[in-house]
Amino acid sequence: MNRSMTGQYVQKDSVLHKMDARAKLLCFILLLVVMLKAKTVFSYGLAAVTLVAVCALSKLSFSALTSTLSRMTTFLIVIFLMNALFFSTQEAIWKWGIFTLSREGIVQGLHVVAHVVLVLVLSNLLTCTTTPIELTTALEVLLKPLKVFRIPVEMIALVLSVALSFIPTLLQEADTIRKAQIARGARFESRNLIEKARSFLPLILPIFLCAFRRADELSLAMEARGYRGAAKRTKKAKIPLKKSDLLALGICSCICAVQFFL
Amino acid sequence: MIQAQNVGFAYETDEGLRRVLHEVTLSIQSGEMIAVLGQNGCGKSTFARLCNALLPMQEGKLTVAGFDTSDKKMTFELRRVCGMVFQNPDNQFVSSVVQEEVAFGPENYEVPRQDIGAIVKAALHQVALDGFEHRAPYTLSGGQKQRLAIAGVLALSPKVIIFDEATAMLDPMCRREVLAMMKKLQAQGHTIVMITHYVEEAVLADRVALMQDGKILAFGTAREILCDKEKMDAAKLLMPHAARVYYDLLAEGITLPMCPLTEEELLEAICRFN
Ligand SMILES: Nc1ncnc2c1ncn2[C@@H]1O[C@H](COP(=O)(O)OP(=O)(O)OP(=O)(O)O)[C@@H](O)[C@H]1O
Ligand SMILES: [Mg+2]
Repeated sequence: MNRSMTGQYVQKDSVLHKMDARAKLLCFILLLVVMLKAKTVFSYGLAAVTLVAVCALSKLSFSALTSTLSRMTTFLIVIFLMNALFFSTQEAIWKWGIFTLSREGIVQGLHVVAHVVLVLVLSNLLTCTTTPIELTTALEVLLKPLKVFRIPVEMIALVLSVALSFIPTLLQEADTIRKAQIARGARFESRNLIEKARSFLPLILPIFLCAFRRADELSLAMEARGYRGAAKRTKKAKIPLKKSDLLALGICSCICAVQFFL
Repeated sequence: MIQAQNVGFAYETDEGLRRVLHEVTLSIQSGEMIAVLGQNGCGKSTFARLCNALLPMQEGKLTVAGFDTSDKKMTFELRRVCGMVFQNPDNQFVSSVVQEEVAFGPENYEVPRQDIGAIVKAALHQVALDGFEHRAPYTLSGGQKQRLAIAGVLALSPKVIIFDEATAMLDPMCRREVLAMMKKLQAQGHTIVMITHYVEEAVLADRVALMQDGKILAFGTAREILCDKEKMDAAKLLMPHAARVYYDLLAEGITLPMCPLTEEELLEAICRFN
């Protein structure tokens, strides 16, 4: 792996890192609403100020916060153009074939891009300040009410955590296979997009095979250690929320409520 | 501790049944370190999986620590007393944090939450991984990963631990680390079954079961088996290096006083010869 993964946990000593993952996840959902509800100048202002404040609390570097964004510039441009050029309206500024450029289209495109940017930075904040294990544990707790509908919440959480532990191995494996393919003349470094895409195809099958083999061995290893279903296990410890977590939840709820009136 | 009576096993494949174990009969005492030695594909892993009830019994009788492996009701209890460490360290971890990984076994046995912390700490201490609690398993070295896998098994305090080629993917240094760990566990009273195709590792065992095509060719002390040219040839395995030197010298007409297993013994034998 030559690049570090974006949106991965970064160890720091900040309020956000210390916050209970359950509370953090709930706050995340509330702030997600704040970001997506932004429409007017004021509401965008509120969303932006909130986001900047949370970023400051996280003590993360600017590059860590925006790494996902810089990786997705092409994607952002594409969604902007899609919205700007395909917005159906009478008052076109410019027309060519199926493309119609209009004021409303541009505004719409800007809105979508702004929302995506806000959400990306916010999600990045969550994953950079919370370890995957904290996140899955929190998810398990928050999804618990779904057990009423016979949804196997513990199993979903376990599957998630196993999948998470698998990702680094799979990436390493992918890298090994990639190097082996380069040695045999594959052209991953090619600038030609189609050629590049085609060179990735031979990677997919070996990676799948690796995943299946691993799943096979892993299920044996789990059974050997007495696994017999996620429900029959020691329950997770119940840790009450701290005052600071409740405070954060309160503040986020207020911001969310205010956003509905702006 | 492990009693096998005429154990047989066949896998179902597309081309019909495929017999991989024939009338395996073995008796392993408590506190022993046994090596099951054989070529690739001779059925070692199949036997190990039967011991842990990861595969269903088909023929014969196999008891492990007093549990009949064909008794489906006791499978869960059996797996607690008979732990297993697998070959590929990357494919046996369920968690992305070391301490959660060790806690996986006890959690399956519904050990009360307040006891798990101490169990995890003790298990990590036993494999000399203190202070690694919050690390991600994939950031560990190969030897450390296998020691973590051992800790995961130790957390259930098993009587028997089966190592299914647990050193096969490690470099020589890490391999020595894991082998030393096996010896230490034996000294602490665990029964160790080491499955391997490295003759040099089998030397460490008290007794060696030599396997070939799903049959036990011979079962005896490491010296009896590994220095027996005929049996080793029959199993298509090379003898340990020192023993090969002994036989080479024999061919030259030089008879050393004993057949050595290790380089040290070879040195001693040569010194005594003069
Ligand atoms: N699930 C299966 N289905 C069909 N055949 C199998 C299966 N697993 C193993 N075999 C076959 O059974 C034979 C014995 O396999 P086993 O894994 O027990 O050998 P082994 O001695 O552990 O070999 P190795 O040293 O490679 O681990 C092999 O020939 C193998 O191809
Ligand atoms: Mg095997």
